[in-house]
Parts: sequence; C-alpha cells; structure tokens
Amino acid sequence: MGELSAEKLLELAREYPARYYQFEQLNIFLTSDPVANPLFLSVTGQLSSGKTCVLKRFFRDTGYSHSWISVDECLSTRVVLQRITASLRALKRRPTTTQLIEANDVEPSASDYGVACGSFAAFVEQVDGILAELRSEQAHFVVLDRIDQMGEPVEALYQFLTKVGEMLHHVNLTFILVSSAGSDPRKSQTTTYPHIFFTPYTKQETTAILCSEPLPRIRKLLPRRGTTAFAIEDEKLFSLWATYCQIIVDTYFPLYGPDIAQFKAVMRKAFAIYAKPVVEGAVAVPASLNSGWFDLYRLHRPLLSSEELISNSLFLRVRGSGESVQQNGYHDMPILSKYLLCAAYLASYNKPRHDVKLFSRIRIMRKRPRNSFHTKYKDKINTRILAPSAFEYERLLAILKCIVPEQYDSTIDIQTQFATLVSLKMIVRSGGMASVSHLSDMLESKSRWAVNVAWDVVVEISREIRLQMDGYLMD
Amino acid sequence: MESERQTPRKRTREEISGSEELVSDRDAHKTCYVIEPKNKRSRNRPRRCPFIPLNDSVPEDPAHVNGRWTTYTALMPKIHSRISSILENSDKKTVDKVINFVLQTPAYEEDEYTQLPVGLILAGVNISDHNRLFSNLTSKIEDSQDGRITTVNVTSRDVSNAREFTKKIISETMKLQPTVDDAADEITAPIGSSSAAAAAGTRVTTGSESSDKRLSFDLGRLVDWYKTQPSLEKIVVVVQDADGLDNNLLPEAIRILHVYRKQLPFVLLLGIATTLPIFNTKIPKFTMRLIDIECFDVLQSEHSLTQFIDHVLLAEDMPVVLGPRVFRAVVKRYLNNTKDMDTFISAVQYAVMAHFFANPLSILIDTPLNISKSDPHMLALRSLPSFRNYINKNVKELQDESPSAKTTEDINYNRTRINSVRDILTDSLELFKFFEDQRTTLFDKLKRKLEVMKILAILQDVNEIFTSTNVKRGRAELYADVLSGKLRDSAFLEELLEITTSMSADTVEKLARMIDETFSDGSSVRRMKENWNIADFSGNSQHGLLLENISISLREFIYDNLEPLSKIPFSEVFIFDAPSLYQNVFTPLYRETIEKALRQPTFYLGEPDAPEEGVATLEKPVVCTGYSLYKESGSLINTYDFWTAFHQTIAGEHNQDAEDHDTDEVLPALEGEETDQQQEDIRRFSKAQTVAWFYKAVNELRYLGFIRESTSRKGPVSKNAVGVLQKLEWDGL
Repeated sequence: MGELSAEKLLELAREYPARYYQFEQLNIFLTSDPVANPLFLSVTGQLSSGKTCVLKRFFRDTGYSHSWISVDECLSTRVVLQRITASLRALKRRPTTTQLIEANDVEPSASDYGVACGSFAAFVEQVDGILAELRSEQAHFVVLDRIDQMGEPVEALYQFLTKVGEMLHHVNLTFILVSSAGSDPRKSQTTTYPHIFFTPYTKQETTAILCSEPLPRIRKLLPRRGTTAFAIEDEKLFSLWATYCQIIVDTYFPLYGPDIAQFKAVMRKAFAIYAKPVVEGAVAVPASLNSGWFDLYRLHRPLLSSEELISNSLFLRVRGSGESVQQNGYHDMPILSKYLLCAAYLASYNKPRHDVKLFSRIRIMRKRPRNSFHTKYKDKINTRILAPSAFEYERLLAILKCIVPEQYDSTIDIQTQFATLVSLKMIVRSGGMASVSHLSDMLESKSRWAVNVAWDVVVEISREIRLQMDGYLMD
Repeated sequence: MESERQTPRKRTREEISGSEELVSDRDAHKTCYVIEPKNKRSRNRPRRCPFIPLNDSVPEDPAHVNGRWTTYTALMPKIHSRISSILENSDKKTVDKVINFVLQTPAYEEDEYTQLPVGLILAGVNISDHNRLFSNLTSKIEDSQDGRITTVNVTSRDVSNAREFTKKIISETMKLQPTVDDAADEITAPIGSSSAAAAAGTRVTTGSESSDKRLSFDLGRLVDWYKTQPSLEKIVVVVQDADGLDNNLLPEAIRILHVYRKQLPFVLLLGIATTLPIFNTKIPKFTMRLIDIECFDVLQSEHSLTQFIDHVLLAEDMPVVLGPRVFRAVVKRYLNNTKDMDTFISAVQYAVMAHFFANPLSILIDTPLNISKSDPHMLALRSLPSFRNYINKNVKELQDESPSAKTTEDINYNRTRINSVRDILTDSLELFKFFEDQRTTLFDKLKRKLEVMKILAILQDVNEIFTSTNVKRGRAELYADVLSGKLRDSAFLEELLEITTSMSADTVEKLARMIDETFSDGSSVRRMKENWNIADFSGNSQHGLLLENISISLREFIYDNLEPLSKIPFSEVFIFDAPSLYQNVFTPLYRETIEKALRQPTFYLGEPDAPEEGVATLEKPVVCTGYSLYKESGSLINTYDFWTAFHQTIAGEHNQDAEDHDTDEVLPALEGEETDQQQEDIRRFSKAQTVAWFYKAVNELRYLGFIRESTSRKGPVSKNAVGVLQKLEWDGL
C-alpha cells in the first residue's frame, strides 16, 4: 500500500492500455502526506475514456483514504454537498487501529445525513467542524465523479470547489473533480491546480480494451438453446471474441470514435447472432484475424452493414425487433386530427396576408408572386428554421375547411380533437396567459396558438392523408 | 309540449349550480357530460319507464310503452356483458404481456452497459380513457405478483421537473404521507437563500443531527429503503401521458432512472397517445442509447371491431339489426374523428335504445302475441312501406299472370296466392304468422350475410396478389355494403372473384384450411367446400376444372346473399336505420345551434310571459337583436351606425308606428331632442337603458366570437369600428 512502485505502474499499464501516464501523474500528485497534496485536482477526458476506472484502481492499489461521490446521481448542488458531509461524517466510525484505511468500507448511514447543507458557507462550517473532530493526520480525497452530468448548471459548484480548500482551516482535504472534456468551466481552465488529461484511445487501443472482456461475461452473451448454454472451450471463445471485436471496431470506429461504452453496447447486442453459426457448428472457429474468419464475416455482412444496430430511431428499433407491431399496425390518429395538425402547421408558417393567395379557390388569385428583382436579392431565411408564429383559432378552422377534400360538419368533434392535440402538446397556446394583458382574460373570444411539431413529422402525416403540403406553403 | 320542454331545462340548471366541479381537465376531452343529480334514488327501486307514448303514429296505451321498455331492459344486459368480455379479453392480453415484460427484464448484473428497460404502451389517441386503462394496468401488475412488484403512477399534471418526478417516485414507493416538512420543501428554495441557510444553521446549533435530513427528492433515501425490502424485485414507474411531459423532463427522467439502475430495479412504462414516429421526435438520440425498448399495443382496434360485429351486432340472439346507413355514419365518425372503441360502442348502444324509444312497432320484437287483434299495431304493420311494396308486387304479378294462366295448376297456384295475400290483409292471425315467417327469413339472411363477410375476409387473406395491390377492407368497412347490397357488381368484389380463377394449388389448400377454421361443421359454407372435392382434383390437368368449380360456387353464394335486407317485409321493425337521430345526439352542430338560438330565441326559451303592467320588458334578448343587425351588415361595422340601428330596432319593436318615422328623426332623439311622438314611443326605454343594452349585446357578440374590435388605424373613423370576425376571416376562402 501507499505510493505505487515503478513495477506496479508497469503492471497497471499492461492492464489498462494507454493509461500509463495518467497513473504516473496521479502517483506524483497524490500522496498520503496532507501537506504535499494539492487542494484541488481536475481530471478531464472524453466520455468513457477510462477516467473513473483508472481513479478507482488507483485508490484501491494505494489504499488512500477517500470518499467517492457520483454526482450524476444527485439532482442538485445541495444533495452533492450533503453527500460530501455525510461521507466525511462516516469517517468518524472508521476503525482507528490500522494506519491506512479502506474508506470504501464505511458507507454513510442514514444518521450521517443529519445535516442539511443549505449554502456554501454552511458547508464550509460543517466540514471544518467534522475535520476538527476527526483530528486526522492522513490526507483524505473527495472524488466527485461525472460532475458535468448533474442535471443542473454546475459552474457555481465547480468554482466553489476549486476554492474551498483555501477556506478550510484544515489542509488534509483534496477535491478531485472528474468531468468530460469541454465541460470544464472556462474560468477554471487557467487555474494553477493540476489537470490530468485522459487522451482519446486510438483504434488499436480500443480493440485491445474490448478484447480484454472477462471470459465468464462473454460466455453469458452466447446464444442459448432453451435454458442451456452452448458449450465452447475458453480458447475458442476467446479467439471468436477477438475476431468479433476487430470486426466491430473496424466497422464502427469512424462513427463512434473511441467511445468504449458505445462499442460495448453494440457488441452486447449482436454477439449472440454473430456467434450462433459457430456454436452450432456450421462454421469453424476462426483461428486468428488473418485466416479463417472470412466465412463468418460473409455470413454476417447484412447484419453488420444494416442500420439496425446503431440506429437511434425508436421507430426503426421497435420495427426491427418486435414483429407483433408490424403485424397489427400501430395506433393511428383520426383522419381529421391529421388534417388539423397540417392546418396548424400551415397557419403557423404562412403569413395571414398570403391566405387568400394560397387557399382561395379562385384561380387568378392563386397565382404565385413571381421571383421579382426584390425577392431575388433579399436575404431570405428559410421559414421552416424559424419558430412557428401564432395564429388564431378561427383561422385554423378556415384553413382546415380548405384543405379537407370532403365536406364535413363542424361538429363538437373538431373541438375535441383540437383539445386532444393541445394536451398532447402538438399545438400549444402561444403567449403565456399572464404575460400579455389582453390574453389574461379567460372569456376573451380570441385565442392564439402555435404548432409544436417539426416539419418532417408533418410531412409524414400529410403523406398518409395524401395532402400536398408544398402546394399550400409560401417558400 | 312547451311545458315539457321547460321543466327539464330548469332542473338541469339547478343541478349545474349545485353539482361538484369537474373532476379534472381531462374532462375537457369528453364530447358530452352527464350531470348526476345529488338526490340519487335508491338503487333497489326499479327504474321508472322513461319512454313516452308515441301517439302520433300508433295510439299506445301505457302497457305498450312499458312493453317496449321491458324488452329493451331485458336486451341491454346481454349486450353489455358481451361487450365487456370483448374489451376485457383484449385488455387482459396486453396486461399479461406487460407483466411478462416487467418480470423478464434482466436485473443489473454488474454490467455497466445494460440499458434501462422501457415499455412503450400505445394506448390510442383518446386521452379520456387513459386514466381507467392505466389504473387498471397498475393494479393488475401489483396484484398479480403479491408484493414482488411495486408501481408508481406519474402524470404530467403531478410533475413539472425532475425533482418532483423523483420525489413522487420516492413518496409513492415508500408509501410516505406528505408531512409538514415536505410542504416547506427545499425544492424551490435556491441554494444560498437566506431562509434555507438560516434553517441549516439552526439545525447545526440545535444538534438534532441523528435524524435523516436528506432532501425529499434524493433517491439515496429510496436506495436505503430498498435494502430493507428483500421481497421487492421491480419498481415500475408508469408515466401515463408521456406526450404531455415538459420538453426536457422525459430525457432527464430517463437519465436519472438509468443512473440508478445499479441500485434500484427500475422499469419504465410510458403511455403514448400519439404514434411512434411522432413520439420518436421527442426523445433525443443520446437518451435513446440509454434505453431498451419494447412496444405494446393496447387495443387492436381493428380486431376488436371485428369481434364486436361478429359477437354483438350479428350475434344470433340479437333481435335488432343496425342498418347500413347508421352503421356507415358511426364508422365514419370512428375513422375521421375519434378512433375510440368506447365511443363506437356507446353509439351502437344509443342506436339500439333509439330504436325502442322511437319505433312503436319495436314492441313486436319480443311480445307480438300480447297484442289484441284489433290493435292499431296491425294497422301500422300493414302500412309499413316494405309490406306495401310486397303486397303491391304480388298484386301486380297476379294481375299480369292471371290472363296468361293456362293450366289448372297455374290457376290453383294463383288462387292460393291470392288467398294468402287476402288473408294477410284481412286476418290478424295470418298476419302474425306471416310476420313470424318474415322474421325468420330476415335473420336467416343476416346469418348468410355474416358468412359472406367472413368468406370475403378469407379471400382477402388468402390471395397475396390482392393484398399487395389493394387496400384490405375489414369487417367494419364491409358491413354496410353487404347489408345494403351495394357490394353487388362493385370493382372490389369482381376483382376478388377474378383472382379466385387463377389460384395456385397451395392457395386452394390454404383456402380450404381457413374455411375449416372459420366455419363450424355443417354450415352451408362447409357443405359448399366439401362439394368442391378438392382431394379428387389433384394434378395439373384438373386444376383448372377445380378452380372453375370453386369460383362459380363462390360467386353464386356471395351474390345470392347480397340482397338488401330492407326489401324483406317488416324489416323496419328490426332494422334501425335513421342516421340523423344518431348524429343529432353524438355530433351536435354547435355553430348552427348557437345561430339558431340567436335567430329564433323562442325555440329554446319558450314564449315570454305576458308583461306586467308598467314594467318594461323586451321581446327577445338584446344579443338576438344585435345578431340580426350583424347578419345584415358588411364586413366592417361602424360602431355609431351599429348603435343607431340598434336603438331604432329596439324602439321599433314596441311601436309599429315607428316605421313611419324617418331615420333622421330617430337620430336626434339620441341626442336628447326627442319629439313628443317619439317620447311616447321610447319612454319605456330610457336612453341610458338602451345604451346599456347595446353594450351588453356587443360584448356578448364579441364573446361568442362573431365580432371583434378592428385593429387597423387607417382613419379616425375606424377606431370606433368593430370587425365582423367570421366575415373577415372567411371572406373569399
């Protein structure tokens, strides 16, 4: 325990590819001597570039006293501060016999949360009090993991934590902030505190990391025949997995970059399909990457080249996986609701003065304005990029009447469908009820609305009802 | 008549004022409201017959009215039980699937890359039903697994941000009661606010540090609690209206649940009212990576509709038939406007009720023999159009044939026919016999028609060529056309029959198999199929023969059963086919109703009472006067003109002589220079009162949305002008 030796560093470097310097830097910056430690340390790097696991491993091997707080679990600054104090209070119950302590063993209990940290000042007071009680000579590290994912702005907290060491009377506390690159607040980038940067992995390193998955876990991913898993020797399984890693990385590295989490998610999805012909004996286990894997690759080319694995579309994923959806058809909106939505879009993205030109049945009036000199050279912004403008309910009804091909009665059903669309937030009331004075009158006959659906959705819907949206839009 | 109309109106008004407020905003999506009176009568007493005698068509005595009522009340429970069984079956399937999904979601096994299991429940666009559906779902999920699963129901109304979301989950799961502490929660208090700091300070000094002071939205509380619950396996979070959640809340909520999935076994169920592609746009791609999706269709509406038609509308013991025109109207509303099984079913139920309510002959459906022979019902039966047509046709045929009748057999035959027709027309017992005969033919034909629909469905399923080029027509789309015989010679049917002449051997086999599955042993279709002798025609050479055989027999069968039901005598007794009745109730035309009320207020208000002496009253509400003036005006009305015309009309209403006066003379009257004559006319309505009425009329018109203040400020005059909204907006469109 204690500082890592040179041999240990080399050993870790083998286990964690491309992370030798990070371990070395941590080893240099952090010691068990509280006076030598910096008050604050920033660890940055891309998403899933090994920050968390390197830090955890470092503390495990050195045995330094530390408390680990996952900030992404906290919804507000107050929760973060409370968890820090609770973890410090838990130290009190630590057995004092051993010199170096596994702080992880002491989980804060409910009674440790007896203090609510209302403000930064109260927090400083609290922590000082706790440290005075502890009277520890040991350095203690507070790791705030994923601080950029708290769910509310973190700038104030970040600023505070860089300075908090100076406010405390005791020097044996060091804050380590782990955040993804780019989210480090600009003000703290120029501070004199040490920053440790986790470089992105290269392609080879990515493959190596993915290959180092423990075998029992790979075995779990194998396809199942009923309840029993297929039997396969460890060696063969490993070589199968290695070729699989290589293929996946080759295919998706341009898309994902070195995002290990993404790769692992994709690999988990497809391994069962990939390994199926092998475990069933249809194809031999590829010996190495240089020979014998081509049959397998040829077999799975459709799988690897389809969008299904990586698609971010809910619709595609559901369609792809669940056959039942395709068979029974999904729930559809009533036809007039679709027309209403299209009418709302038209009302929002057309100016009222063009209405007569666009919707009138009189032919001459429908003629489009020609591209004259003025319009040609004017800088025009595509209206679809702009926010929808508000329209009046009556105008919507008038447009609806024009775009619905059949004659329909304006019954109560139209209003019901409108109300439904509003509560589905597809049409929203524009202008807050209280913000504008004349809108605050509930009895006012005039009400203004705006569409809240993107163009691609509207186009999709208009296609279903065979409505030519372009014919009604001024572009 | 007038008094009848007035009494229910008065009562309703009292009830409205006394009734409780609407339960929630969800009620805004209902098309109609039921006001339940406070003094409910006891349930033990049977309901009094609400039907009224229909003396205009058939003079009825109370026994007849009661007869219709009892027939109706005896019929309804049967229909109800069948409908609920259909709905429950389809609900049950979904609920079972969801429970299965929840149980099978993998536990977090130290693998950081598992995703959060999310079930998407496509519940249909009708929001008002979702409450019932989801409360049913959650209770069933909880009950079925005795304590292994707990559910939290979240609606967009309860939560507006992630903290409230987690707070709701914590309090619901741990079954916490909101305490005073929670009320003065730190959710809204910003960090560093003086009160919170002070509170924290006092807590430190008082030293009450042993109690748990974690914030109410800190899921750490739930983690500690979960460790004490060994039997709990899943925490299901149900978001009933995922569409209605605030823009950023859903991704944030998913992120939080995803982060905690190591410590808490969360399963998220999202209820979606829109379609999948639309919902897709609400989930950012980053969030999409965190979740593992499974989809559930709650009510396969097409399937349920078919079930409903087969087992309720065309069930063998259903004595009333829904006519094609009514059915078409109901289906049209279903497709265009609601897409909701419940409204569809209630429309059908209403149609059945309307038949018993409005048709005096409906008493014959159940108890024809209770009616004495001299009853006016006989007269009514004989005056039915279908019956008259039948008699006329017979008489005409007999007249045409009688001179040409040559053999004695023909003469005998004609004589019996003449006798039978005469008997029907004169003898009530014969009429009854004939009536019963016709009833059996009608329901026989109906049964055949159902078989035709099933055959058509099978043919559509069997032929790949047909389904790839045409839009399939379900039972609901076929019903009206088959019943009215409109399908005869239609392109749809011809194409379908055309394809049967070129089926492959496999297809024929499939057809035979599907017929066996659908129809019971001994039915006419099965007999027809057995006559094809498919097994005998094996081999290529005979395949053509077989196909010819099949297509001819199919064509014959279908065409034989496409006769419209309305041609059968007395069909009016059994078929309800008045779409206007249905439309008036379910889809009222609000604009027309309002305009009618304004045009002719006496229709709803009744004739005004005789005015008391010396009290000034108006003949009709002022808004009606304003409305009639609005109808006469152009697209812009000058306020002064409006006022002048209004004043003149009000004055003119009470003095016919006012017509003699020139407008010029009335105008100065407003300025106060009243002539003696006018003084007398307008004496009862002072100027101030008329002005007040005018304001009232204009404002009421504005509230109703007819007029609005013109915003253009082109001239000094237009400042006082009001625009006519309808005319402005709809001009030239």
